[in-house]
Amino acid sequence: MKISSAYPYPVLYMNNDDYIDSIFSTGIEVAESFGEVKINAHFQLDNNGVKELIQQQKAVFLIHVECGQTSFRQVYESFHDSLEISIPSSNLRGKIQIHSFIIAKDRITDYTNNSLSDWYKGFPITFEKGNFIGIGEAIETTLFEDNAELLNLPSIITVSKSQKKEFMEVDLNSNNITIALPEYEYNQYAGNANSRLKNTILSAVFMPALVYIFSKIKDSQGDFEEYTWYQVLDKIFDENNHKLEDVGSDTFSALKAAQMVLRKPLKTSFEEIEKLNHAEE
Amino acid sequence: MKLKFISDETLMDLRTNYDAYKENYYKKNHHWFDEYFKVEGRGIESSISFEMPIMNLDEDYSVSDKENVKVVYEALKHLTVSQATQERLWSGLAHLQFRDFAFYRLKNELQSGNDIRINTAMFFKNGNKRSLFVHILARLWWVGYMTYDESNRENPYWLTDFFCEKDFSARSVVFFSSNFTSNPNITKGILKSIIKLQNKGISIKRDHFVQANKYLNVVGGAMILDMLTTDEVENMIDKYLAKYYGIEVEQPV
Repeated sequence: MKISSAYPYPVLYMNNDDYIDSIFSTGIEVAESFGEVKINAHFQLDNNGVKELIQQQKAVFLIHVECGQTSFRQVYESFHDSLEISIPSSNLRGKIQIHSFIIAKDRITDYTNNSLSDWYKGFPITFEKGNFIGIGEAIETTLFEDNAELLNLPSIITVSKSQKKEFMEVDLNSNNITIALPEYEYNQYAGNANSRLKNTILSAVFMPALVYIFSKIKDSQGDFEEYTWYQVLDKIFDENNHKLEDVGSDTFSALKAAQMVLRKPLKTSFEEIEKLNHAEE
Repeated sequence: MKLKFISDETLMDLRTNYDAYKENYYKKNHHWFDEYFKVEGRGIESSISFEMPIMNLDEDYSVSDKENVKVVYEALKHLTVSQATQERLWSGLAHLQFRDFAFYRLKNELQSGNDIRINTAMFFKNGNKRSLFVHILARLWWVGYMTYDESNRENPYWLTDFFCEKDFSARSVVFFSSNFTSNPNITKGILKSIIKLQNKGISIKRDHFVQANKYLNVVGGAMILDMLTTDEVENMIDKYLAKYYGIEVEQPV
């Protein structure tokens, strides 16, 4: 997004002097973890008149995210001084631009502000919806292509059929983890794993298995370290700025870790179900 | 079946050595391509399942392009946008599973040896974003993605039908090279406004799209258009185009 330095109305912006003794500044942090890009923005605003507009919800803090390559372009709004955004990494690729603004939420007429520079004194000022009231910092960041994205990750979990068992079981004591399913369940899994309910089926099988695996790690870490599956998981967590050995602690439960590795499986499952229900209506 | 793509090395080889290989394109030499991709590691099977769509091969591209946007998007709707920006995927498909279609769509270019167009049609040669709307396969998916209207349950492709009616190649490049059309609300707002003009009996030309984009570029300098709803964008464009083309608009009584 190109930012102009001159507007037909006053803008609170570090690169002009439309306002005196006033500040609008945004701290923006970006982190990528388990298939999501997380953006944290903190807004610092030092101007009572603009603060009031935001309190009255006539103006709003706004983060604009744009990725030219994937044609992603979206705004996120907040009336508070911080904003947390998460975007699936699959929506973004290459360069991403993040801008911060204060924007008129609706038409604002007869605008005045005690800190306006003399130049604007005595003029009637009007903001249309979408006009800039303040412009804050912007950052550019680059997401590198995930090479494994088009392929399955090195498979460390095998699903197999067990002839006699009645319940799902998970075997951790070899290089690959095996999930053993009873015969009927296995046949359903194998036959429908590519259907419209693919993610739902995957999470029904993998979610409890992973919770089980992660609940075991804390106690038997030493025994597991030699196995390939442990090393692969260790690497996956490391690449996503987490530690596998923390899993099972109070702050990082097995349940949460499983959902992170499967990238919010409940959400994708319910989305599938919602789509299917809509299609049948 | 699984979607196939090609490795980065293979992509570089095909691009770099096009001159050495081009006779095989001209002659539609399936045998040569099949042998070429038999070498381990050149053609790679992805983890993405899909059903091979039945492509429309009408002699008139203005008929087939429209239909093919729909069948390709329908078959590959589950690609993530990040996947759909990858040259090794679209170039791979054009050389592998969609090779027949590529030969059909490039019939004239192959006959006349129009190497420049063959290259832009099979590879990404126009910059990352523009290529998505120039490559013969990628553009079908992307126009589908950009014009698909989920809110219209009966016919989610109604905007696609309008957009692909004529002048498909030029329209796609002109319309989607603007940054604003990345936002679906804005894209739909513009298309709905132009459809209204057409319904008034005005013959829609490329200029209508150009003017709408130009106008948004100017307005976008002073405001965040992405905050607006589809209806708001539609209204703005209505007013501007009416003024620009001197079209009578019924005044509300």
